[in-house]
Order: sequence, then structure tokens, then C-alpha cells
Amino acid sequence: MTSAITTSRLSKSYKKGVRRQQVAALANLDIEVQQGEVFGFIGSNGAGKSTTIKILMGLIKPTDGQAWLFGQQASAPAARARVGYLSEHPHFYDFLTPVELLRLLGAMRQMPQQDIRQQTEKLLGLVSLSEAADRKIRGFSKGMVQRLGIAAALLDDPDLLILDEPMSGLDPLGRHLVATIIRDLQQQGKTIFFSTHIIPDIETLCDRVGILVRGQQKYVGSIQEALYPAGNRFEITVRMPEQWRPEQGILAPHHLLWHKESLYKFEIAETDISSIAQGVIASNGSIVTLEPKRRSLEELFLDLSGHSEPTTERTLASPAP
Amino acid sequence: MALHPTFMIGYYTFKGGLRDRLVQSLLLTGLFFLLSTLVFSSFSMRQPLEVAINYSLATVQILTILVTLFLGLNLLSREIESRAGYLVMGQPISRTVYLLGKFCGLCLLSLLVVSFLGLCAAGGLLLVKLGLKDTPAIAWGNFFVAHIGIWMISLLLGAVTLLFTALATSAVLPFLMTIGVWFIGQSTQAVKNYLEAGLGEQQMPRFLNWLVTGSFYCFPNLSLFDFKTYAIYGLALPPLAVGYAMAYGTIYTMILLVLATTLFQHRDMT
Amino acid sequence: MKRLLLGLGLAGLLAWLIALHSNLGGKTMAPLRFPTYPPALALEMMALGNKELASTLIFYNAQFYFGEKYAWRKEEPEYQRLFAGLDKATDLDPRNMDCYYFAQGLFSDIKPAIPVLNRLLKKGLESRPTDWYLPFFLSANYYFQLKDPVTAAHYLQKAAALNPDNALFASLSARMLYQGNQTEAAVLYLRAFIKETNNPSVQKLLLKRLYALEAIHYLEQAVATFTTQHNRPPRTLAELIHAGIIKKIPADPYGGTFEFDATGRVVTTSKLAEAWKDHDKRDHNQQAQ
Ligand SMILES: Nc1ncnc2c1ncn2[C@@H]1O[C@H](COP(=O)(O)OP(=O)(O)OP(=O)(O)O)[C@@H](O)[C@H]1O
Ligand SMILES: [Mg+2]
Repeated sequence: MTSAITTSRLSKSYKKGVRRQQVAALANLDIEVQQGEVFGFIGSNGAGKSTTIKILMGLIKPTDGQAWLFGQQASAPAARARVGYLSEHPHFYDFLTPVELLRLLGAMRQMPQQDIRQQTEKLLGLVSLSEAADRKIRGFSKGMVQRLGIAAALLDDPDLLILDEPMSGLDPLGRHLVATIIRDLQQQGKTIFFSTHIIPDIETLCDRVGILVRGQQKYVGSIQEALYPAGNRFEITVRMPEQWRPEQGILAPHHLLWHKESLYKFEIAETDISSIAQGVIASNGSIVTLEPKRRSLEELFLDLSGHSEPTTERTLASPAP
Repeated sequence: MALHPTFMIGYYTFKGGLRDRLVQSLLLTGLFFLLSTLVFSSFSMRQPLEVAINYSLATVQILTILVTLFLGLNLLSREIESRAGYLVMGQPISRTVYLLGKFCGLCLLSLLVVSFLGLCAAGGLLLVKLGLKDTPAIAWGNFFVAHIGIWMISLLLGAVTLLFTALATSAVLPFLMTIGVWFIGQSTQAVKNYLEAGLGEQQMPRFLNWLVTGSFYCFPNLSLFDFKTYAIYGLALPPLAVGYAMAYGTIYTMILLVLATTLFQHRDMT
Repeated sequence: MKRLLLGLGLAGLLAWLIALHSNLGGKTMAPLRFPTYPPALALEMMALGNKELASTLIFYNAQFYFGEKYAWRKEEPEYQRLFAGLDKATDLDPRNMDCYYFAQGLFSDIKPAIPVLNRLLKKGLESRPTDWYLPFFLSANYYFQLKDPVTAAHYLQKAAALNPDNALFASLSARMLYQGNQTEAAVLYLRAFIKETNNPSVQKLLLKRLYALEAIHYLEQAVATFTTQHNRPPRTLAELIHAGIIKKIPADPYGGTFEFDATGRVVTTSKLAEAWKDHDKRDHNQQAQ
């Protein structure tokens, strides 16, 4: 079986300004996404995610290297026949209505009229745009445009979905919806390649991730391995009696992360878990949560890019505690 | 009914043009101008009907070209600049199909505009004629051919916009450059005639002569499509002139399309 | 309410200003000058393929300028600039009949302008070979102004051939060639010309000329009667009244009085020939002083 996406030493440098200064946006990217896989593509702002995706969609030409979709050169129009695409900033003909837009896209993909009509109804319902189906896109909110973009990408029941930040601009319901859609599609055996900044999405949806740092591919593989390296530390939250003080007892040598009323959260090593659990129970306390300490992606990036000092630039959103 | 994607894009471009506010208001302005033919022609001493035809044809010409220029700006250059084209280019169609589809839509739109304005002009002329005694008959055949000429000019300029759009990354630049081509294209013939008549040989440096001859071959010669004089004065229309203009316009437009699609192939859509 | 009062007050003030304007009698107006147009090539380039419209617009400008200058402000029009404008307009569209007609109406009585006027008309004749007006105008100019009856007859024949149904040519050529009464022919020609015009200020100009011609014709007939009665021409016009041939000498529409010139012909005091001068040069001289 051919892979859904293959790239080989894919590189892109933009020429900028009057002096044609070269900006290396992407260097020697090698990824392979198998059919049926959900692949998360992560990286800080300006890392080169959208550049990669545009190359895959034939919108820009790589300066070096090659890309294939289902074994076909990405630059050939026919390669896009089985692909649904959502761009980073979806921008549609704003003089059309969603129904007209989907009809245009369907016609360009040579879909039968019947299918177009059925899919339009189904998909607009799915992204909750049925009410706005006959309103001009000009008046749509950002989230509505994003939803419409998702519907447009799904129109022809593609085997491969390439989504550039599908969650951006969506409300929590919308995010949940997209997550559900991605899971459903995975169930149906479709391949999904998406870029994102949102960590929970990556953890819950992706089979594998690729991490880009300033155009360099730093990691490809399971997200679990990336975020929870072996021998990692744990975070324990305990509820203790009122007179209890953290300076006393078994927890004293451990790092207190925060405390609120009778709740205390400590960072501990894996090897200390059992002794601490006993100690807490002995002091009439109870364990509320115990979870592996997750590296924030920020830390991960810093690790991967070999910098220890934090950059001023805002990178990926940290996970919610 | 499965239309070729080219025509689908053309059809939706057409639709977009019809819904363009600017175009709508230009058409309304045209209607107003054509009604004013009645007033304008009344100031003529000897040839009110000729002046009426003259005025309405000039109105049709200027407005059709303006509408084409603005449509080119809004439907071609703006679309590519605003990334709305990603939507279409993300589909399994080639960029050539995309550009040709856009051009088809533009052709259709300018045909609609020129027919609409032409019909209004004809109505205005009939009104003018009603108020006059002993006027010569209007040469409707020539009037029609004059409109074809105007349409040809707008097609050519549409193709010029397409070419500049394929090259430039800003939306306004192709628009301005097309206006430049329009200005030059309308005057190359006049300037060449002037030089050839030897009127200005003394003052003209040699390189200017070359420049004019060069631009005569490079820029479209838009005066070829000007059949207004025949329509205004009801002169016999030489078939050779019409045939030549049509052949010239078609070939020139096709060359522009080939160039535009070739350049567009190699362009980054950023 | 306050706003309403303010609005009403301002409207009243404006009405007062407008009323004042007509009392000032044009003292608030800028001087009216006819523009010097750029060369025809530049005009053609600016017209963006609408030469004919540009030509019509120049003609309209000339027409409106003349109306305001001559009929309304009662100032002397800048004839040379007007001619230059019409010349450029007919370079742009050599078929623009309005220009030829207007030029003939304006310049055919200004003797120094006749050579350029005839050149203009011949340009028209080349582009409008079937239009009888142009040879008709040329014939009148050759006959009345250049005193060249042979060329005049040639053009008149051309005009007659183009418009065989018009009886005007027969009576005109009869008077021009056989009876040799210039004034009568001139009256005929002018009547035919006036009949065609719809421009009030041109009509005004031509009617003035016609009245003068008719008065001259009237006086000439009286002179002829006097000459047959007394076997000598009268020495002054007053003699005609004393002899009882006419009741009174008609008024000269140009404001002066009719008189005999050196050859004994009745002439008006019209200063039209002096109006053909270079306004630009005159302005220049005034500035230099
Ligand atoms: N058209 C362009 N011209 C010049 N440089 C560009 C262009 N597009 C992108 N770049 C540069 O290429 C690099 C990668 O940009 P890209 O848009 O691929 O980042 P990204 O990973 O999608 O970021 P984000 O998370 O903000 O969407 C950036 O440094 C950017 O400045
Ligand atoms: Mg991006």
C-alpha cells in the first residue's frame, strides 16, 4: 500500500524584499504518513507548517526535494483528486452562499449533481450551518467561515484530509465537533494530516506527530514518548487535615507546586510514590490525583531546539493544568 | 449535465461580477449617461444625430473598458491576492484551467455589459431620432460592429490584466499597468501616423522613432478596433478592416493567455 | 428648533447674495478666455479612442464661449483662438460639420480670416465630398470676399450638382454672374444661411449682418433711382431724402452711420475686420508696457 503522504528532503526558502534575501522556511523534511493514520504536525509560529502544507497542495513549489500524495507528484493536479484541504485562513468567494460554494466545488471535482446536493445538506448540518445555508458568506463570522471550510474539505468524501489549524477560530463546541469528525473519519479508515497548536487535541487525536522547529524536523513518532519520556516525574495532589503543615513529615523534601485551602500539589519522583502514599494516609490525608508530570510543549521545543533559556517569542500554548 | 471546470469557474466568476457593487454602479452611471444623450446632442447645430451616436458610442466604450478594468481588479487580481484562489486551486484542477475559467467569466461579463449598454444606447438614439426631422438613417449594422470592436478591446485588456496578475503579487499594480497599456494602445497608431507623415521629423530624435515603432509592435494597437467613425457618419464599412481587426485581436489575446498561463504555472501562491 | 432657525437664516442670507449677484452685473465674474488647446496629436492621445467626442466637445466649448462672450457679456470674442480651436477639432474629426458651419458663420465676414477659413472648408470638403454646404460656403467666400467670380462659380456648380432640387443656387448664380448685384446675392446667401441655424447667438450675429445688408441694398436702390433721375450719383446720403426718394436713412446696426466709401459704394461702420487680431500678442504687448 502506498503511503498517503511522502516527502523527501523537502526544502523551501523564500526570497524576501528587494535584495532577494533568502529565508529558509523549511529544510530537508522527510515524513511518511501511512494510510489510515492521524498525523499531527506541530511547531511554533513560523516553524514552516503552512509552508509544508502548501507544498503538499501544489500551491507553492519546493526549492528542493519532492513530495508525493498517494504516490503522485504533489504538483500534479490529479494528485489532489482524493484530497480535501482546509487552508490556514479560509477565504471564500464572499458573494456566494454556502450552498452555491459547495455546488461550485462539487462541480469542479466532477461530482454528480445528486451527490453534491446530498453532501451539501449533510455537511452543512454536520458543521451546524444549515441555518446560514442561503446567506452570503460576506456576513459570516470567523468561526462560521472555518466551519464552512471544514465542510468544503469534506465535500468529496476524500481519502486524505490536509487541515491547516482546523481548530483555529472555533468555540469549544466547534473544537469538540472537529475532534469528533476526525475520530469518525479515522474509524472510516481515512488519513488525516493536520497542523495545530493545541496540545490536548494532539494527545487525544494523533497516532503520530511531527515536530518542526524553525524549518527543521526535530521529532517524528508517538506523542506519548515525546511528552512523557521514561523515568519521568509525577505530580501528586493531596487533601490534608487542617493542622497539617507541608514542612513536616514525608512530603517535606519534595517541591510544593501550589496549595489552596487543604489541597496541596507536589512534584515527586516515580520511585517515591508508594512511600508518599503511605505517609499521606498515615497523616489522615487523602490522595486526590496522581499523574505523570507532562512536559509542556514549550519545554519540549526548547529541548528540541537545544536552547535552555526561554525565548521572548510566544511559542505554543501551554497545556491547561 | 457536467460542465468542464473551466466553464464552471467562468460561470461563478460571471456571478461574482454581477454581484459586484462597483460594476452595478458603473452600469447605472452608464444608463444615466445614455439618457443624457438627448440633452447632449441638442447643442449640435448641424448634426445632432451624429453627435448622439458619437456620444453614446464613446460612453459605451469608456464604461465597458472601465467595468472590465474593475472586474479584472476585483475578480482576478484581488482574488489571487486575497487567497480566495486557494479554494479553487486546492481542487484537482490545473492552474491553466483556473486562469482560463476566470478569463471566460470576464469575457461573458464584458459581453453582457457591452450588450446592455449598447441596447440602452440604441434606445437613446431612437428617442433622439424621434425628436428630429430629416435626419439620415442610423447605420445599425455599423453601430453593431462598433460594439464588437469595443468588446474586443475589453477582451484584450482583460487578457492584459490576466498576464499582469499572473506576474504581480499586489492587486492594484496589474490594474494600473493595464490602464497604462490602454493609454498606450489607444495612441500608438496616432503617434506612428504623426511620425510617418514627417510632421515632427525635425524635433524627434531617432531613438524616439524606434521607441514608437517598438511599442507599435509590442503594445496592442487598440485603434484598429475603433469602428465608431463608420457608425457615426454611416460610412461603408470595409470588410477587410473588420476582418483584420478580429484576427489581430484574437491572436493577440491568445498570445497573452498563453503567456499568462505559462507564467502562472511557475508562481508561488503565497 | 435652533438648528431650523439657523438653517432658515442661512437660506435667507444666500437668497440675498444671489439677488446681489445680478445687481453687481457680472463684476464678480472672472474674465472669459477661450483656451488654447494642445496639439491635435496630444488631444487624440488624451481622448483614448474617442476623437469624435473630443472634437464635439471642443466645438461645444467654442459655441458656449461665443454665446456668453458675444451675446451675453457683449465683449469682443477672441476670433483667432476660436479659429485655432475649430481647426484642431476638425483635425480630430474632419467630418464634424458643426465646426465648418460655425466657422463660416463667424469668420466669413472677416476679410483677413478668409484664406484660413477657406483652407478649413477645403479640409471639410475632402472628408465630406457629398455635402453641398461646403462648396456653397466656399463659393460665397470667393465671391464676396476674394472677388473671384470664376472660382466662386466653380464651387457653386459643385454645390448645385450635389443638391439639384434646391432653387437657391439658380437665383444665386443668376445674381452673381449676370446681374452682378453683389448686395442682393449676399442677402440671398445670408437668408439661406440663417434659415439653417438653431444657435441663438450665431443667429443674432447673422441677423445684424443681414439688417445691415438689407439697409445697404435699400440705399443702393435709392442711389440708382437718384442717378437715373439726376444723371449723376448723389454726393451724400442726405441728398436722397431731399430728393424725396427715401424718408430717412436706416440705422446702421453696427452703431455708426452709413456713408459712401472712396469708390462711391454704401458701406457700414462695421469694425469686424479689426476683430481678427492676435489676442495673445496684444496681451503680451500690454504686459510688456
Ligand atoms: N510568502 C512568504 N514570503 C517570505 N517568507 C515567508 C512567506 N511565507 C512564509 N514565510 C516565512 O516562512 C517561515 C514559515 O512560515 P509558515 O507560514 O510555514 O509558518 P507556520 O508554521 O505555518 O506558522 P503559524 O503557526 O504561525 O501558522 C516563516 O519564517 C515565514 O516568515
Ligand atoms: Mg501556519
